[in-house]
Amino acid sequence: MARILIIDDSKFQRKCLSRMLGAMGHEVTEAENGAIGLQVHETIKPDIIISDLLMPVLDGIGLLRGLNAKGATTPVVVVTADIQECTREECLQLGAKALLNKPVTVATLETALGRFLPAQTGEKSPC
Amino acid sequence: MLTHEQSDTLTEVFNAGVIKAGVALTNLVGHQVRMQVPLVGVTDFTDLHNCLGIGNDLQLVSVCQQFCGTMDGYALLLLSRESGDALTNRLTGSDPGTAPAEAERSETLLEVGNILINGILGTIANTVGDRFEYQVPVYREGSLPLIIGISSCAANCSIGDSHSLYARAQFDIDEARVIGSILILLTAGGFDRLIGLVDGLRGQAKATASGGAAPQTPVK
Repeated sequence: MARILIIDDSKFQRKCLSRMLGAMGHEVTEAENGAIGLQVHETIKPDIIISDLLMPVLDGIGLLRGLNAKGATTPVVVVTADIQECTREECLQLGAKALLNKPVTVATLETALGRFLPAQTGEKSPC
Repeated sequence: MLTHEQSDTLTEVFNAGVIKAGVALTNLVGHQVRMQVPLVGVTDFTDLHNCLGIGNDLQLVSVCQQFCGTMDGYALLLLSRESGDALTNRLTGSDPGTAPAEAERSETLLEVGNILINGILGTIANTVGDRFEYQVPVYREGSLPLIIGISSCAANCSIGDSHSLYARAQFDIDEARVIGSILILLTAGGFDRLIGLVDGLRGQAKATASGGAAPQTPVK
């Protein structure tokens, strides 16, 4: 089980992702924009962040920059409706591990998590 | 205002976006979605209802997303109230025929609109080698004139502008009885720039077809 932080201003999208990730057995925390996401990141130290791009207050690009400024190494998977090639390049340059286009499927999400979650979080706790 | 060739190229570009949006919508609703070949034209805002075939008194739900870049304008997802409810129920797993709560309807349709509009605009941007900056989408209800009026005002598109380009893509989802339209409206300046980009695309296509060298810098 991994601790996953979902950052998306869309309640509908947060609900969909939470449902998928919950069914995979992960512990999910939600934030509704990048600014809140950065605060929550400090508190819960997630294993991975799944973030939208277009959000009020602080968008996904701002979030990636904020994480970089803090020296955070938490992997970030961007989930966005924006399919522009230049957006993908910008996100990857800012350190995002992957960019998935909405709507994401369970299979796509599972593959991304499998690739980017730190190995130990997939293992059972010894106790 | 558009030559036959320009209209043809624009329709091709929009159609690629519509197909992309259709795939996204199919994945979202888990059911086959039929997308129609888009209709592209130039109109006065005041005559838009005729071009779209939407009565001025029909109550609609809409998602509006402004964009800027080389071209400025806004895109709208337009649905009748009934179609909006049916799509919301389909996506939230609620009973068909029931009226969803306001918040549930707006949250759900905002995300649907965001995905569909980005599918089309993103494809256009990728095709013409441009980039759009998007604003956070906004949900609105009302008649077509009201929605267009408020959206145009927010996007600084002047109503009555005779050089406004519209592209309408209709879709329907049989099982959920949903019929909707996606509309893209450009400012006058945006229209001129898009035509320039389209002419560039046609020039490239002609050069490639005749075996000539394609321009090094495509259509910026």
